Amino acid sequence: MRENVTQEIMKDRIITSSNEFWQGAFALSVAIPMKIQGGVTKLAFAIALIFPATAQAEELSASVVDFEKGIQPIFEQYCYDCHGGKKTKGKVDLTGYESWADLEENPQLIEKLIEALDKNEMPPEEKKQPDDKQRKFMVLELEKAFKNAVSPDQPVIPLRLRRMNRFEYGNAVRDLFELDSWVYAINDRIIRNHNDYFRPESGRMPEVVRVGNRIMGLQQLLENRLLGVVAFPKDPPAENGFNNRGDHLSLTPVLMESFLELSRSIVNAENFEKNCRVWDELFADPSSTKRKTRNASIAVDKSVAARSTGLTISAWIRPSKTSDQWQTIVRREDSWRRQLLSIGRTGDTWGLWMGLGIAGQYEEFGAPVDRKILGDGKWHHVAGTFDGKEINLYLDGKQIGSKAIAGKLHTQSTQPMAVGSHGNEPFHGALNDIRLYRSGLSKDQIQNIASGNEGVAKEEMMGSWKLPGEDRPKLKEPVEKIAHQRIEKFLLKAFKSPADEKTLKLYTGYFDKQFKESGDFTRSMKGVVSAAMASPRFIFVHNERDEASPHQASFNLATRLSLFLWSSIPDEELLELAGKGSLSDLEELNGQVDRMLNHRRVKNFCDSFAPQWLKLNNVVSASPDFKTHREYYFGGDDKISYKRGMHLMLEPLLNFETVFIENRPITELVDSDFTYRSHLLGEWYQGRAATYGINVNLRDIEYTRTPLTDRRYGGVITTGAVMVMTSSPFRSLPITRGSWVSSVIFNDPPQPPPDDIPDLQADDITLKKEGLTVRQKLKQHSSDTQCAGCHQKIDPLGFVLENYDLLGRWRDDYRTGLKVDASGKLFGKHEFKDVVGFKDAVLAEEEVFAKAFVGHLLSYALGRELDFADRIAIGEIAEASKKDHYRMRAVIKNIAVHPIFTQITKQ
Amino acid sequence: MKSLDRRKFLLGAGGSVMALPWLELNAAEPKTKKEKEPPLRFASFYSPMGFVRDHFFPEKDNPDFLSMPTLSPLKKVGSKVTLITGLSRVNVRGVDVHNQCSSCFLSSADPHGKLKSPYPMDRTLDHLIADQVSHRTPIRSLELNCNSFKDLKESIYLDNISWYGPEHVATAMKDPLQVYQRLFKTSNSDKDITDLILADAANFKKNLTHQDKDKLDEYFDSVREIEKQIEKLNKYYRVHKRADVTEPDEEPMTRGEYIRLMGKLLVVAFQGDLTHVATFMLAPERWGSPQLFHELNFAKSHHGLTHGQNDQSVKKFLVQVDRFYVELFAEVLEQMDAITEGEGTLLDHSMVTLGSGLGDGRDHTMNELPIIVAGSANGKLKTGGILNCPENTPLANLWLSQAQLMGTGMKQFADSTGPLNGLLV
Repeated sequence: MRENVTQEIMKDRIITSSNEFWQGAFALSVAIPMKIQGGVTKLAFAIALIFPATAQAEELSASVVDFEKGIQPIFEQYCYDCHGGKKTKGKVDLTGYESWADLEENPQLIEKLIEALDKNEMPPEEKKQPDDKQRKFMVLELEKAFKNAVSPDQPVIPLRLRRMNRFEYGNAVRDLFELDSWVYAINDRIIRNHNDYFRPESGRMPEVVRVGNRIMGLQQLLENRLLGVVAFPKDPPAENGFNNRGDHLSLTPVLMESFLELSRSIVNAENFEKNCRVWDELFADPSSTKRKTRNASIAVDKSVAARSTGLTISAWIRPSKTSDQWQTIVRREDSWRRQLLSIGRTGDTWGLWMGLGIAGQYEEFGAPVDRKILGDGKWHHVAGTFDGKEINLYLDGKQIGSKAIAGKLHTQSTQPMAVGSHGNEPFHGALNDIRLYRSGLSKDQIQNIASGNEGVAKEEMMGSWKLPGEDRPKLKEPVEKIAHQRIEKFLLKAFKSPADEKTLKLYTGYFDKQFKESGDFTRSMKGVVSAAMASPRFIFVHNERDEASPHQASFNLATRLSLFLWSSIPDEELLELAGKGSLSDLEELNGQVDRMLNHRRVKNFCDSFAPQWLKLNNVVSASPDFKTHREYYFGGDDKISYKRGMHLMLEPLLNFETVFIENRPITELVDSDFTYRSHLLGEWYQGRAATYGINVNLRDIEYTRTPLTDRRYGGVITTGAVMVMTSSPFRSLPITRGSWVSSVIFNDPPQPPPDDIPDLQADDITLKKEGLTVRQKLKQHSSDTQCAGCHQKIDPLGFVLENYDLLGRWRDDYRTGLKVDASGKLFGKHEFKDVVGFKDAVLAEEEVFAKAFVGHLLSYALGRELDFADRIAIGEIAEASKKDHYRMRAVIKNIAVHPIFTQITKQ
Repeated sequence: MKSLDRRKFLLGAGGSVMALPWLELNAAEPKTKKEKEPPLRFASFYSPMGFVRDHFFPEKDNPDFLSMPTLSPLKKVGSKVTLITGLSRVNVRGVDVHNQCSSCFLSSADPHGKLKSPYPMDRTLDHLIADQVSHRTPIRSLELNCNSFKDLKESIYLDNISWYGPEHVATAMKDPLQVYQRLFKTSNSDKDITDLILADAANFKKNLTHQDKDKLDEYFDSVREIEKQIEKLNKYYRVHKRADVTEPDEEPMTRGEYIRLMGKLLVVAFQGDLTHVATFMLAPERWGSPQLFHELNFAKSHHGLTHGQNDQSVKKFLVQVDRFYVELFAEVLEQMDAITEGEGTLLDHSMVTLGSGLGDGRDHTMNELPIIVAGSANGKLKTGGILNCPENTPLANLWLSQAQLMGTGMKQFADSTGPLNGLLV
């Protein structure tokens, strides 16, 4: 295949990804009827200043300078030539506007004008330019006019009802049943995490992460998942957007069949019970003796816990195994405030361990125990206490260890404490009579408990758990009543808000009917759960106008938050707060957002947002020419999907996660002093690509944090992944690269090219013959005025990356021997010689980048395409994040608490 | 009953299609007319990014279109095929061409009218027809798509020609096993559950906004459609035998085998009157990735090829791709023509179109679209020659004619100016 063909492949694909942003602004701006009601002139407040009034302009808050004395003369001088009576380029005619009132009728045009002036796109380079003061003055004035035009009565746009996408559905089911396994095997999630590296609560990305690439890897079906459960097809992304867009997620008979099938196959999967951690509290027959300790938990009496001064955990244990692996006695996850009692080995100590958050950090203390004693098959009593001064550990009533730590015990979560289970640290053997106290009990008290005394410190007890007796438990209530309570609790979680009486009756009635017919509790409950999973209340999200519950607004917000940050349904804590209506309390909301950002489920956000934002799936189909670039294929054959892209793809994702976990400024996505690389990738950038045999382990790859001093690398833009996916099989594609930078980094995708673009003959042979670089060649090609406007903008963004070849490796010269010219100018004002200078230029315009990033994030958070009026919210969010140096979590948080997201309108 | 060429049908695991006599199949239906006309089947095949024109359209005044390199695979059924020239679609400017040409290929929206979505989309021809004829068959319609790309990164518009309405895609089936199950699997609906969730949904709907109520209607429509289909299929299989088709397995297939299998399932569905309406995407429009054409022994981006076709060395590959898709289409027609139904064949009682939304993939033109119609629609269509229409005749005219032949009584379709002149006998 000749180059001129293939270079078009990607170019056309990316460029023609249309962009309504541009569209709306240039072509349709004048024609679209306005919905905005706030077009009332603010001229009454205008202060008659005589132009130029730039110095004072900044001080004028909501008022603008007289149109005819301020902005109009500048329009006349610099703009009317092309956008006046005779010519109306881009269908923009500025002579039609005589006053601010006129202009404010058309906020879309104002928005366009601001963009064009701010980024020096207009007037075009070759035309007469206003000076900097004039330009600044115009932008300020227009910004005010824009606010006047849209803000006052701008209604909050509610999120549209939509179905969950495939990624969300899988997460929701997993969280609904607290599954230890995945629901189905899908590759929507690219990174496969092998060493539990993602710990947002730690605030630190480990030096070494062990990861795999689900999309390009093999044998991904080996992961633990529910057997016989088949996912529905992947939802395509919106153009220049995300796959959670409400208008794209429709329901059809084919999909509904999948949802129906899923609602049955999930609860009936043969390994469902094994993986379901809510089995006992939902499906298990309460009158049956068969219960699983591992799914037990201790609910904490909050009224008692409220006056806690310390903590005591007391338990009877009979381990069947005493290996080095940790075994959980009780545990509750709550980032650094987690609380636990376990046995196992850390370092040189095999023994009893207590963990809890004291004075702002997690403390863990262990006392050595002879494992032969615990493994003797007899019951032993263990206890751990903390009284605000020291941690004490006891075995069979005797103190075995003590550590002095003074400080306040931090308890935030009121979730039940899990008994005998935590991830892959389950307890092997038997547990009984576990008690939780709100204070550190004394040595004597512990001794008392160990000798079998029931009534010790009763008033201090927050909760307890006992091994269900061998006898048939006596039920305090009829089975049906227990079932109804369980159903109500389940529906709250599945439907994301409380079921009203009518709804509840539908489901409890169904249970009663089934139970009466079969007498089988578990089967009847599975039937109810299946039905609920087929209900639109589960499948659909954002029923924002449903007024069924008095705190519906709070429940809506809980769902919005959890879909944004967890790609899943709200957890119990969010639902509980929503039920109290307290999520609308700003302080509470802030605390919850922090909690959510520290929760492991936030991995879903990184897994979903980052690759879509970076358009990273394009690496999958990148196919450097097999004959000339065999090193990309590990020297293997082209039928095998082992590609270097496998390694490349993970680098920008890990960099993104590092910025997220370590709460670094988002500008480090452009320029960072670190990166994560596999050994192979490190060699690759150095030009030392080893040829590996096919049997190289590609499933579990070690990535190491690599400090960088060379600013040609770092961040996401200059990673090999970006270079490979913006290249043809034969050469780099500068226009595709420019388009990528414009779309991803500046959230400004270029408009589609004209239908008939002549081929660019830019293969090596032609270029050599003509003695031209691609850049010179393209300059001839795009001199057409129709194309020049756009190319003027995109080209420098792409050519600056020409020093990276099609495989992402640095080059000073082209293969033809000609020197790469990477110089250019950003927004017509920041000149740069090379990519390092370009990074400086982007950093100099960090506000533009921040707004672009906020725009992407906001569109993702709201699940809709942004409207021109959203630029106000974008501006406010970016502004609010500035004082935190645009730290990633500050940016995310500022979205989560902004009225556009919370929809809390100040009364 | 003609016997069928096994090789055409069987892939991998073996199996065969038992052609059931048409009269037997229709025995269950009450006869309203004395001379009952065989039911008419409608199918629309889509091939992306046009065909190389000088290999597809013969020179002016040359009637021998079957000698054209791309069309010659149709020779065996040549007398039952019509080449139509001069049809066009209006290119709505300023929006993505490829998205538009696939998603609006069968659209009933007037491109000059007010757009309800970025593209002139509306309920598509197949569904407007199914609205009228689906009572005849257990399955309302089939939407098939042979997109085998693993990187589902492109837009929904490129991957779908069948839409219930603007922004409401009719999800196509890509997995042969899913199609197989749709055609042959009967199940019992759980009336209790269906009643429960519909009652729940009705409560749920009460508190929603108008816009959200519309969205929720997708749920009601889907659940009811599934119910109806289960009931009809159960009824159907109480009377009819299942066609003897092997259940598709997980064995990897070549590009050709995959499309052939999907084609075979379509033929079986038509033959057994399981449905009378189908759409079939041979490949998605403008996918950025290279595709392995096993049978042609190369992996290339079809889209990339179309843009480079000025170069002879590139065009050489492109015409192979064009011909490859026409060959597969021809195989479907041959199978249909080998199935006897009453006086004629299944093909005679059908109207099967192959077309593309682009006239020329190189410069994205939407005029002079490549369109072939096969089957005489019960003897109503002229076949075996070229129908030259005046330049820029709306494609909608052909769709209007087809909708009328299917008995919809439609008067207007999108920007149609009337039924297509010269199409009928």
